[in-house]
Amino acid sequence: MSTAAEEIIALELISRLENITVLNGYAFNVESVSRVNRDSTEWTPRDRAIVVSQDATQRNEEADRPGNPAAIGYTVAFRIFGFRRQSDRAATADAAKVNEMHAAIKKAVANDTDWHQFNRTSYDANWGPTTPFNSPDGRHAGLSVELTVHFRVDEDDPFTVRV
Amino acid sequence: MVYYPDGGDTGRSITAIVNRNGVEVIGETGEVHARLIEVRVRNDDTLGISSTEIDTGADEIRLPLRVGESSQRRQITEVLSTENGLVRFLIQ
Repeated sequence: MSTAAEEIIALELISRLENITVLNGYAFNVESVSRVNRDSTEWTPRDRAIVVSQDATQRNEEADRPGNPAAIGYTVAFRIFGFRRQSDRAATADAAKVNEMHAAIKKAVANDTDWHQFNRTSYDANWGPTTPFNSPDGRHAGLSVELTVHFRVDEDDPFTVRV
Repeated sequence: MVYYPDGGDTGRSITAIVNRNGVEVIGETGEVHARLIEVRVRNDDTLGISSTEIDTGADEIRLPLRVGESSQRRQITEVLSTENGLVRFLIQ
């Protein structure tokens, strides 16, 4: 069985985020890039951890193209959560670390002139809002970055990408 | 369980009382799940964890998520109290 278009995009997104390393010129090594299951057995919120979650896939009728079969347009939204959990004795502001991670996420994802194609699966991608967070109980600091990706597939076969 | 100061490779075995409270959504994210395990240990830097050494930004605990399962390392995320000779904290 082929891989669904959304899954190809998600795997490519994760692969790019895993390239956040000192060796690649970033200020830090990403701790992990995860998709968290409902029971959270494989993930714990360490400093520099990234979680990728996928929101609803929406129809985008304006992107439809004629043909037999027709190409049907969709938009899928991802949210990239970056966790910064400094030592209790750290002197650096959490906000400074969050800004650092924000820039690293965007540089890693938009890694080339055709970054928006996600392994020739999509025809466009756009950044959405970036929202920093700080737990009132002091557990977590970090940010979420929204990314929407637009793609087309065969009307009768969502495994067949139509760029 | 085993306590790993600063998340390093060297840990020390300690005795603890553990409440495994299932899973919660990390509120700020609205959707990312994390385990919620409450632990009580002696406030002691040999037999338990000292309230002056614990670091919620780096320290980790190795324990089984379910009784009888193999252990895995988890991050300490919040100190709940340090009274009555005990350190009570959350790991996720």
